[in-house]
Amino acid sequence: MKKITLLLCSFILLIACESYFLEPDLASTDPMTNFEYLWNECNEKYSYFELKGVDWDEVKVRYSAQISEDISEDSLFNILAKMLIELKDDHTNLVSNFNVSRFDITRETSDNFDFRIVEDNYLPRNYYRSGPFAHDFIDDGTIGYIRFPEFTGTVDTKNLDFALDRYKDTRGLVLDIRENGGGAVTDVFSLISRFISEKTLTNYSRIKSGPGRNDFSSAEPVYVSPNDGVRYEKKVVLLTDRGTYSAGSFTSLAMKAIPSIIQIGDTTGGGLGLPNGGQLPNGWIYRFSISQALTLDLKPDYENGVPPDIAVALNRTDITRDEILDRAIEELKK
Amino acid sequence: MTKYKLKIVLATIFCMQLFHSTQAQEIPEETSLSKKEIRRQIPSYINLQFGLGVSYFRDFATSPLFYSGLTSHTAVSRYKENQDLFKNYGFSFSSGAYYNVYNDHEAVSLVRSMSLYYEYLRSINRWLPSSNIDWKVGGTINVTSNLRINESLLNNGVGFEMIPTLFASFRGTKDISRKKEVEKKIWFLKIKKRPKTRSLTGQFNIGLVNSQYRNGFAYADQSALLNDPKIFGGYEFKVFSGIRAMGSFQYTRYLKNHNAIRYSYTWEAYRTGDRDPLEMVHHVLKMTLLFNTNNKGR
Repeated sequence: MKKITLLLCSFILLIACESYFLEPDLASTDPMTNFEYLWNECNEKYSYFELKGVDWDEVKVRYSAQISEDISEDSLFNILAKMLIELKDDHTNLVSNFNVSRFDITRETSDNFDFRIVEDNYLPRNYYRSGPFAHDFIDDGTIGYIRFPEFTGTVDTKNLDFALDRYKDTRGLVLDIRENGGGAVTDVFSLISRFISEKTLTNYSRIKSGPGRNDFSSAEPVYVSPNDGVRYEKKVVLLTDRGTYSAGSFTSLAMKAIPSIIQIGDTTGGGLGLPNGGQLPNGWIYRFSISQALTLDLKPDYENGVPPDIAVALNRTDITRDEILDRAIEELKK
Repeated sequence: MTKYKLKIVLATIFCMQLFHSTQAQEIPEETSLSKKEIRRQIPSYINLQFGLGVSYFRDFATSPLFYSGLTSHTAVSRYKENQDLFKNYGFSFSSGAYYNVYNDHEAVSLVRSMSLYYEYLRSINRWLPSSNIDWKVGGTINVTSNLRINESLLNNGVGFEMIPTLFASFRGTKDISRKKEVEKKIWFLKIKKRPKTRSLTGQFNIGLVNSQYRNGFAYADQSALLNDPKIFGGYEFKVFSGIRAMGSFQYTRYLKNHNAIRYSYTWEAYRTGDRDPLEMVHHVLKMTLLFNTNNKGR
């Protein structure tokens, strides 16, 4: 019996050693603890400090001075949110059960898109909707117009085959991704594969691989191969604005590598860094960019927005014309 | 791999081999039965296991907070044991919803885990002073994988890791059978207690070669951005990384038809050895049905 008791006691002792496997509980609502945690996560993993010209150490000094032990949750949220907004990156958010912080790049410039103007003045009343695409002929049937409002991850072969086959005899195609805030990046490649005739190097990408500011993986090439289905290899105009973000910006970046595509409108919003996600010791959620998309000359500059080949702004005093779309039609008629 | 760690692996493999070879050499001296016939004499079972437990984990790569929850466990294994040998191999599956509720914020992580394992232990009683506990030592290989889904963590919402471990295993079994019928009188009631075959077992596994297959530094993976989506893009395999231990305490009741029922409590804990480790602990109460497959009882 003694041996059984000994066995049982040893077993209980071993379980008591559980703390050896677990570090102490770090749950905390202490303002400075949460500030330090968030600052440090960004410090080690955020990917665009240099490009954005942010002195993150100076940011820490400036914002930590605003934190005291008796600060309210709302005030702490606002301080942390403002610290993240310094990164000028809409892939950076702080989420609590009472507020969500965001930079909102679209507020940096005037609005350059109103789909109602396109609907009322360019498209027929019952224009086509194929999956995520709204499309039809414009300019007396000489040009195809495809509106792609969101990368839903639902771009399928049938939708694209139908739309592109419908406009195969047009002079050119307008692909409108203004105010497309992004989504599934797989859609980007599905789309691009329809506008190339050979395997194309579109850009490079690298991701944080260590805590140092310049600890990145090697730059890896991004190739897109032509789709075997219906392709459109005539002139294409891509319409963008500041609301063209994330996967929208990826599309713009990748299409820079395709000579037959012209980008018209405003610079995109950027958002070329892959966002992560995590939790603070007080339960709030954060996210920020951890990768860099690089141009063909290996520069990360397009994170600040992919510039258009032809810059055109919308005149919001005239709600009968979309100047950006007009300029696209003009370009396709050349 | 350092020389010291290499020595531990070689020593473990040598010990396991030693238990094999020692038994093989002794058989012809003790009996005229062939090895195959001896193996056939070992009671053999198929185990069906069901359990309920409390588990908690924390993945520092995404959160400094613990998640805890109730978990269900099932396992199927092939099991052989007599006084000289213990062999068990099979797979187990567990699932549960783990919650973190803190500061009026709630997050839930759905976790599905699967383990493949092989345990092989041999008796060491011949080297010990006379004992009525059947002591065995050997090794266990266990490969556990976890799939964790936590929508709160946005782009890091899906986590997967594989934890392969080579354990040193220690097992002690005490036969607590009632050999003869016993009659007891409680007040005016006479109670006959029939003979019963039963045992108590304690087993402890300590990880010798701890390894892991986990996300890299950034946790999220850029393979989709490269137009080359990979399930395990950016994953890293590390050997001699982390710590892991398992223990169980079992009560087994053998039936007349050589089947058995086992009630057990198991405990398992591990921590990966990377910069942002995953820590996980399970406490599980289990019931196991042991179906005898060769009509050889204890």
